[in-house]
Amino acid sequence: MKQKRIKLLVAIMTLCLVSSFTVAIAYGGSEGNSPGTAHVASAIPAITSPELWNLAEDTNENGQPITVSTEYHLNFTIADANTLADLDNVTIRFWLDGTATENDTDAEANHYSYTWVEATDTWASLTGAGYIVQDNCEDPGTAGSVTTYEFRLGFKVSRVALYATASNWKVSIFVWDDSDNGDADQTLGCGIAFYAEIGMTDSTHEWTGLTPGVSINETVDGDGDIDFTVLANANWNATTKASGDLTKAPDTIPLLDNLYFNKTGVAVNMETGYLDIPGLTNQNPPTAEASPTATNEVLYLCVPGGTPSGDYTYTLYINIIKA
Amino acid sequence: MKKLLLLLISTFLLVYAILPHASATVGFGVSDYDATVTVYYQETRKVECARIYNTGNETLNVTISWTSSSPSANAIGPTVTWMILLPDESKPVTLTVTGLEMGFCNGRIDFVCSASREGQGGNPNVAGGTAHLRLSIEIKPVQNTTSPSGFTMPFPIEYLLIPLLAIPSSIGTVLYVKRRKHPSISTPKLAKQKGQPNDKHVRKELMKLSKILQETRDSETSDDTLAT
Repeated sequence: MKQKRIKLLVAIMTLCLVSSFTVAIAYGGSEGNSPGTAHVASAIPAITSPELWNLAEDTNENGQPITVSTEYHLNFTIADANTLADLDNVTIRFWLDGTATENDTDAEANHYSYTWVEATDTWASLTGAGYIVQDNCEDPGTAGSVTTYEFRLGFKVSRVALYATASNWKVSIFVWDDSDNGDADQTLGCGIAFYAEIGMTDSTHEWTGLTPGVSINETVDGDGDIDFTVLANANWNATTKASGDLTKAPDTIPLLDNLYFNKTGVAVNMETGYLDIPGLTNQNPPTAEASPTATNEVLYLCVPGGTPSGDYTYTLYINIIKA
Repeated sequence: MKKLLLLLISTFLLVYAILPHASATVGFGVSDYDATVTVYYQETRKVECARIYNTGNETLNVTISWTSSSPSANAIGPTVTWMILLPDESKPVTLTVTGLEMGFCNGRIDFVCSASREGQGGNPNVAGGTAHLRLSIEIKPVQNTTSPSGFTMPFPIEYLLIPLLAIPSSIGTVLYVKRRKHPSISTPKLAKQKGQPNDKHVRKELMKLSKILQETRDSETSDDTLAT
């Protein structure tokens, strides 16, 4: 038994000795050059977690109506195993489906493009500088050493960006790397709330030299009308009303049968509730903020016979509503 | 020298007259959310319904009022308020609403803005705006109640306690009212009241009858015992 154990020990020792010789030969037995090339493939960048937030980032706006000329944030994460220095650019497109397609040229009414270029670390909006909030955009910078980063685009849309419910405004995010590998995400969308704006070109109006009992209705002084401008993002109607009768306590000129308005066509008797202005209904929206629709309302006043002399006053209201 | 001075002054005045001046302009915009919001019955909450914009170069005072256009006009505690908008400023508009009546309540938010018109005569032309809001006033949905042991009740504990207290008290009330209405089902004490002279006689007769019955039973039981 003891002899068997000794034999086994000798066998193991011999085996260890032989194997150590073999390793020594392998390492130092010969010298030479073998060029070692390790090819690292270009990893495909990936977009994840796209989200549409309000400015405070406490309300998720995906699928909700957003408002014009208000800052929103588009957040998304991009990963690239070659580090984000490998990225070429990130492009975001925002368009109203049905009136524009993804690759259309930019227009304030229905198409916006935003880009970030890695080589220059710059954000830009092709639609106009006013529609990107540079200070609130976030990116990894040039030659970023990280492999993942949460980007943020701070953006606004024009006051003429077309009204749409639900998710008809589509969002697409594209990322391309230096080897032309790319990824895309098209999961976000939103609506845009109806917007109407009025600019009062004429802030007051008056009539002078009115004669009581004269049947001819007099238009206001100056060019005979009330001038105003309109910006809207859908078809609109102009409406108007008066605060009440024209008064000079204790006397009044009643609205009824005395104060009329129109743009074209038949004049309408002014009331204390809003009424459509004839000729200013179902008007098309302008296509650029810089080009509001200039229009006017014509007023006619007739002073009844027996009206005491003096200055009679009231307030005129003009309101734009969705047609 | 005088001529030169005169020439300079007139040139200055001419240039000043030709140069464009920044005139005061009133510009007012409204983004109408046209929102549909659920408000729970008796609950008060804030509802953001619009965003208003000052697009001119004068500070605006904006008056905000709510007009209900639905039959249940009292469904909302209306909030009439006002806001100040600086040039190029925009603000969200929030209404405080309370669900006072169940059902739908549609309404309109009217905005009227005015800038200072000091030193200007005539009748003011004022820009307005409108937003819309639809409210659905509903019962608050039932929340599951979990007991300390982990058992989840499908309804609040109040739903069980209220009937448990209400049912016995209702039964008690009904019995009390019945007693008051039908004294004949009253206790013997009530039968002893004055004005019922025949009651004594009836009681005596009943006592006699009960004695006879008792005796009869006793005799029957003694007969049975004997038979056995």
